[in-house]
Amino acid sequence: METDMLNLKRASRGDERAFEALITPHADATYRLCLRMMGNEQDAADMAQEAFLRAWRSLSSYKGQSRFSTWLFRVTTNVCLDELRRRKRGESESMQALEENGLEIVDTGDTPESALDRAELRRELKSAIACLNEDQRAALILRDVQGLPYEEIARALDLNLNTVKSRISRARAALREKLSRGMELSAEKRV
Amino acid sequence: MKCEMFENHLDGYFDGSLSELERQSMEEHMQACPECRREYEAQKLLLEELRHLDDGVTAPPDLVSGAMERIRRERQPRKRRAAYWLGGAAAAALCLTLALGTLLGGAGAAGADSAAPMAAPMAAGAAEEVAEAPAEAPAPNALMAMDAGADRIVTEESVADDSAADGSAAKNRSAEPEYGLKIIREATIRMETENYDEDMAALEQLVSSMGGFITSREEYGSEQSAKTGENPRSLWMQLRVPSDQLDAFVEQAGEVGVVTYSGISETDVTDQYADTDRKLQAYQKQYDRVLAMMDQAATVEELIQIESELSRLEMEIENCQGSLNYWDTRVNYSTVYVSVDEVRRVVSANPTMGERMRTALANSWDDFTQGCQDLVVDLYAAIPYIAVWIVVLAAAGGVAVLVVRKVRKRREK
Repeated sequence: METDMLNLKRASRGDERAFEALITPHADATYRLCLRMMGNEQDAADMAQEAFLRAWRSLSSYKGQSRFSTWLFRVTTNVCLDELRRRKRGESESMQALEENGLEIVDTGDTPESALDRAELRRELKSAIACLNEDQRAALILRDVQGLPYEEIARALDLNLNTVKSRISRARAALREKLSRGMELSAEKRV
Repeated sequence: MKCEMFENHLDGYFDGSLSELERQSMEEHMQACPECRREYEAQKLLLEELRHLDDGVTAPPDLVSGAMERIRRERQPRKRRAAYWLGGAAAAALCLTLALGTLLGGAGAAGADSAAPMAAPMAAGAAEEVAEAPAEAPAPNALMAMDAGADRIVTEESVADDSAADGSAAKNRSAEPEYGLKIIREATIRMETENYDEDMAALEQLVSSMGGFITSREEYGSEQSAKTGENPRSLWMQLRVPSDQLDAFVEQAGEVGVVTYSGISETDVTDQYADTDRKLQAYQKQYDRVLAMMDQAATVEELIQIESELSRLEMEIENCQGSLNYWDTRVNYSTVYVSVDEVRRVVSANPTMGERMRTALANSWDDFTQGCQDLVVDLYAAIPYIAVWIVVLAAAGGVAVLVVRKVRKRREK
């Protein structure tokens, strides 16, 4: 924590090595966040780099009002959201078509032989997350995958606490519904 | 408890924000209602899976180094100027040697000829570094001629240099000159200002006068808190200016506030652009061919097949077109990241020797104060140990004194 403060001071003076030391411990978490937001590894790596770059550029806007990691997640989430929105704007129709197809694939659930094993469950979960709208997805990932407290998520996404809670709650309900439908289907099959 | 209520409390149950009573009544309800029980199990499974969803996923090893590479490239201009001088010095030394060689050896033209091929790679080496050096970088008079030569090499060399990263690029470029180079230029400016409001207005004025626009803007702090000096205002914005105005913009923005950092980065997307464009043309040809088949379709099934192929191609074409448009706008309009900090007194200016010394001193002062603080903290933390040791030592000392006294008394006797 102490060295973090030092590195932060130095990085905001333009010391690159201090910045590197500052972000390195958060590289995995940043990448995972991007991976869940974007849904594939290539985009995740690109966005994580972009996030570090934006963090560097806007380091002066970090005033120590939250933990550095929270601020970094905020920057990262915004980078991902910007990119997702940009893509959506660019090709809204095809994206929608894609999403619908994606949903269908997830919903049918009758693909492999009966039992819904763990790996399969995770796969379904991942594609279900990818089908959430991006605002719900961001909140859910920060809470349930990254394990941030609600207050920090509110700060990271610039939302009030209740909005965050309701978004997460809605996202969970959507996933739950998908999961229990999957479980039922596999249960029926087993019978 | 009703099922609806159960559902509403489900998140609270797992977040641990419910009262003991609420928990109990939920658990009771679960026993009685299999529907809600299933809901609970699903939530439990969901949360557990989510928490471990990305276990073992690590960032690619070059993630941080890649980002740092891009950050350093952004700062390059300053370093390049140094390289410019180094290259210049090397060239000067070469000229001198050449001249001396000609004079002493009297080899005349033959000597110069054999030396020329050597000079070219040298100059090219220097030129590579200078590729993006600002044109106004002063050139020593004696090297003017050399310089013109280097300039020419610069363009070739920088092209080859860039393409080295992407393999086959050099070929593509000579084969398809019609786009010219597609280079995305971005700038970063950090500045400090004493007259926040005025300077912000000037900056906005500058942006619009150059045909640019602000795409996003975040402001922190307030005017009131700024007056007390406690919470000065700061601004981060992202804006776009026509890329041919970028250099002028950076220069003029520098006159608004005191620039603490500015850098321009360049990303060459010529290859991707050319690839996508080729793809687009291929898809378009295919589309036309498939469209022509429409007339020959005999059955409804064939027709449907053709339709679906057409819509697939349409989507591909749109995708390609979208990418090309995206690059075009990014190439034509440069993104500029500006951050402005309000200060009561501007301290930092362009980094000079003195500035750097001050920064270094500030850094080691930080270290020093940090070290002192750590020492105090450690000493403080050691109090219990010290206390115990004092007691132990005092006891030992007391015993020793007693023993000595006794021995003395015995001797006196």
